[in-house]
Amino acid sequence: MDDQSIWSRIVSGDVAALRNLHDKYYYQLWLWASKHTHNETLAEELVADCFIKLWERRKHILIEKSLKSYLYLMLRNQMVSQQRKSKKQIVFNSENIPDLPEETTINSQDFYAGLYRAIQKIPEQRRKILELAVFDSLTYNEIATRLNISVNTVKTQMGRSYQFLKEELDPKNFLLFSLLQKKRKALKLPSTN
Amino acid sequence: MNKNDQYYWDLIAGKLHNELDSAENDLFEKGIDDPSTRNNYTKSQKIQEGLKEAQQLEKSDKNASWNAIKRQVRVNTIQLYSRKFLKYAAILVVAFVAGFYFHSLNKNKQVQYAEMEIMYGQTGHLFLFDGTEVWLNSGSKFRYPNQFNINERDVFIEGEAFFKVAPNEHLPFKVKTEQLEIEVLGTSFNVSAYPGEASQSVVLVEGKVQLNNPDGKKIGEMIPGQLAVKTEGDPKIRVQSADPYFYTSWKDGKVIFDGENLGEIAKKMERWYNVEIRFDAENLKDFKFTGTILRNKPIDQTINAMELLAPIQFNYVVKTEEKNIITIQKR
Repeated sequence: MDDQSIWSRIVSGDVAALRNLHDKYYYQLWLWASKHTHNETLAEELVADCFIKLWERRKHILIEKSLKSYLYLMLRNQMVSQQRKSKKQIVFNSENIPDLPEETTINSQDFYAGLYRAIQKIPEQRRKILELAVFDSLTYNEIATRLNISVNTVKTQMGRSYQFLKEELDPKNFLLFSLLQKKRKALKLPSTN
Repeated sequence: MNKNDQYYWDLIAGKLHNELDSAENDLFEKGIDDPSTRNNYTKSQKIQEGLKEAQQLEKSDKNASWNAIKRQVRVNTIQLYSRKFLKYAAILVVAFVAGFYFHSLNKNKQVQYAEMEIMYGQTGHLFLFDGTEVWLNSGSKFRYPNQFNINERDVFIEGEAFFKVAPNEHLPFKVKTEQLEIEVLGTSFNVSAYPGEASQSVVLVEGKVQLNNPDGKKIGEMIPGQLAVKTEGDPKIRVQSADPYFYTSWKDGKVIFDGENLGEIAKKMERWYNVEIRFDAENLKDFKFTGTILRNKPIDQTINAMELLAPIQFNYVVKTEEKNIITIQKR
C-alpha cells in the first residue's frame, strides 16, 4: 500500500493503517535516531512518540511533501524537545542535533532497513555463518571450526546468502545507495590530494 | 552468468571476504568481464558495506515499539454517536488563566491518565471516551483518564480548552485546575489555564455549571452569558455579564478583540504563532485594538493589518534555532 492511501486511512481513524506505517518505517527511523542519540532506549521512545503524535494530530496535519519526510521531521523535532527537556542529563549536545536528513541519507536508511529485513529471512544456520563472517570478521576456517562444519559448506552458504540478499532487495535501493557512495568518494578525493 | 550461477556467487562472496586462492581468483577475474556478474559483484559490495550498519538494528525492537504505541492510541468508537448527544448538550465556556497542578490524583490511583501537549502555533481537537469533545488551544497541556470509571469524569487542564461535554445526569464532568474545579452535568465547555497569568475566568455559554474550590466545596453557580473571574490570592469570585463569543471564537480559528490592548494581544500572538514579541517602548502596549484575526492566516497578514490601524511598525527577525523575534516600534 502506498503512503498516500495509508495516510488517508490513518486520518479516518484506522489503527491498522498506523501499524502498517509503523512497520514500514520503524527500522529506518530507529536507525537514524539511535545514530544521533547514541542511546537505543531513547531512540525507541522517540520513534514511538512520533507515531503517537502523528495519530493524535492526524486531523490537523497537512502532509505537504511526503509522509516519510514528515516522519523524519517529527523525529527531528522530538530530538530537539527531548534535548530541551533533559538539560540536566546531557543526552546530546546541540552540535549533535541533526539537520533534517537529505534524500541520500533517507535512501541509505531505506537500504539498511531493507537489508535487515532481508537477513531475517535467511535460514538460521546460513545467517549465522554470514553474521560471523561480516560482523565478527571471522575467516571461513574459523567459522568452520566454530560451527563444526566443513570449509566448503561455509563457502557455498556464503555465496547463497549474497545471492539471496541481492535478489531480495529492491533494485531501486541499490541504485539510490550507490549515489551515496559516489558522493562519498567525491568528498574524499580532495583530502587525498 | 548462466549455469554456473551458484559457483560465481561463491566466488563473489569469497572475493569480498578475501577467501579466494589464486586459481579461484583467476576464475573470478574471468567471470567479472561479464556485465551481469560485474553488476552482482557491485551489489554485493554494497550489501557487505550495508550489513554492518544494518546490524545496529539487532538492538531495536519493532514489536515493543508498536505495543507502546498501541497503548496510547485508542480507537474512539464513541465518536460515531457522540454527535447525536451533542445536539442536546448545553454549552459552557470556562476560561482560566492560572498555573496548574494535578490535584487529587491520588484519590484513584488505578486510573491511567493520558497527557496531550499542544505546541505553540497549533491547536488540537479530540474526543474523550464518554463522547465529550475537546478543543485545545496553543501551548496547552491536557490530562485525561484513558477510560472514565463509573463514579467520575475528571480531567485536568493547563492552558485553554473548549469542552462539549456529553450529557450524563448521573456522572458529573469535572475540570480541575490549581484554583478551581468546574462541575458540569451533561453540558459543553471550554477551558484555558496558561501558567504565569494572575487571573482565571470562566464564561458560560449555555446550561448550568457549578464552581467549586480545589477541594470540591461549592463556591457558586453560573448562568449563561456570565463571566466569572478568579484572581490569585483573592478568595472571592467576581461575576459579570459578557458575550461568550469573544471567549470561544478561537476554536473556530477566529480571534476577536474588543478594545483589547496591544500588550495582551502580543502575549496571545506569541502563543499562536510561536514567536517572541518585544516592545521598543512600554507605552506601545497601550494601543487598543478591535477586530478579528484569522489564525490560519500567516502572521504577516495580521501584522500588516495592525500596522494600518496604529502608528506602529513590526520588525520580524527569523531565527533558525530558536523562536523568531518580532520587535514592535513606534512609526
